[in-house]
Amino acid sequence: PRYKLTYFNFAGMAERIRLAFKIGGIEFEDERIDHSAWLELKPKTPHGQIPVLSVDGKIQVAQSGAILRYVGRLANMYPIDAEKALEIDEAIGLLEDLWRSIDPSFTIEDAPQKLGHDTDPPEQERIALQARMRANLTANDVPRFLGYFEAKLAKTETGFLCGDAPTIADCDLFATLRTFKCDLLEGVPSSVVDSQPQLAAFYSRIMDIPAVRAYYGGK
Amino acid sequence: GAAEKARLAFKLGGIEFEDERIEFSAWPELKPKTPYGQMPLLSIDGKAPLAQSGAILRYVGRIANLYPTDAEKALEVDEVIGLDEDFMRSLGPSFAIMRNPHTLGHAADMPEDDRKEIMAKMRAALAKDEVPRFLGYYEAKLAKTGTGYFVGDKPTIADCQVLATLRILKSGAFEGLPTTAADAFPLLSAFYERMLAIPAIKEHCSSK
Repeated sequence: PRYKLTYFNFAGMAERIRLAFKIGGIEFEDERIDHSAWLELKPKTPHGQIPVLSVDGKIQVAQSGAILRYVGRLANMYPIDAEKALEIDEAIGLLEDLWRSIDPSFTIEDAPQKLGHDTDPPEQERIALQARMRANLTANDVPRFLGYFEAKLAKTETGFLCGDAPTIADCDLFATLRTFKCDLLEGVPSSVVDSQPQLAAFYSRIMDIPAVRAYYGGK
Repeated sequence: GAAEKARLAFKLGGIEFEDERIEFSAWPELKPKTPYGQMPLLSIDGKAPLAQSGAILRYVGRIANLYPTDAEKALEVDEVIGLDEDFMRSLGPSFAIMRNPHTLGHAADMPEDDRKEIMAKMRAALAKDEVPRFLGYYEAKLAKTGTGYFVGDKPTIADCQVLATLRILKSGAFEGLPTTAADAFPLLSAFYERMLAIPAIKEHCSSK
């Protein structure tokens, strides 16, 4: 089957899926669209969301978590064993919780009224609020969640989160770490990863996988 | 709350489990002893507990045969679960405004009355937008499957997930969201009745 993943031209929720395809060695079309193309595509998607996965030319499904697990099953990166899968799902869930805590710091920028602010506070104010929220995240939520993964990696001793080979949990963690490492989240410095030895080593380890290195073009 | 979908899956699957419920007052002492300061927690044969309601739901689904092993069918189940998680996530700020307003960029000491006012406004917006939108997705999915269940022709953890959400909606626990919102959706309403008629679920829901 021909797989196509459609998303914006940034990492976001799609990156962990792209990594699963790459590490799993499954061919796919990595379609990246701009905003105007999105507006045209949106009504044709199941729920007005991307990423979407198309199989043999037909949009099959939205929901990045669903797609990630599907690719994981195809690529042998999501165990069938219930207890092993439970560990992986727990890790994925924790990362979703981390991103859920980061979400409002995005919403403050483009839809502050959803957070109970007056519509359209001036740009200066939004930027100041966002900076404060990101500072709070850097001091609290980010180190707390990353600390869980630092501890997990110390415990598994295999260099991966679950078992002795990369799984979709590793794809998810790496994608998250990369956001911080590449300063893609303004106000959250890369030191949140660099200061954690297990996480820093994990990051390099995944980056050293040939398919991953090729994907990032050595960046 | 977040545990209900897993309880429903245990009951539906006919799997024995200890349904331990902690009082709110007991939580502060218990919290630091948990892996991530979160509940629900699942402990298997007394081993160290694992967290994350979605992970627990899937685990129960696997052991109870309520989570298809076929990749395509599982994909459908995961899509429904993901949609419902998006729905619940959209309610997040309306809780955060009461508990941790600073996480939404407000003053940490925001007066209670201001918080309540904003919460009410948020819930009104949700009632107009997200609630009918997500319930509409569920209705459309049921129409597409045509079996009365969300995926395939028998209950899966996707049904447990949505049933749990419908129950909270109908209970009025989400202040400001109409408890009758699902009534406008015939397939969804029929789904609700159908699930509640399953003996194990009926017993569970009436015994609380």
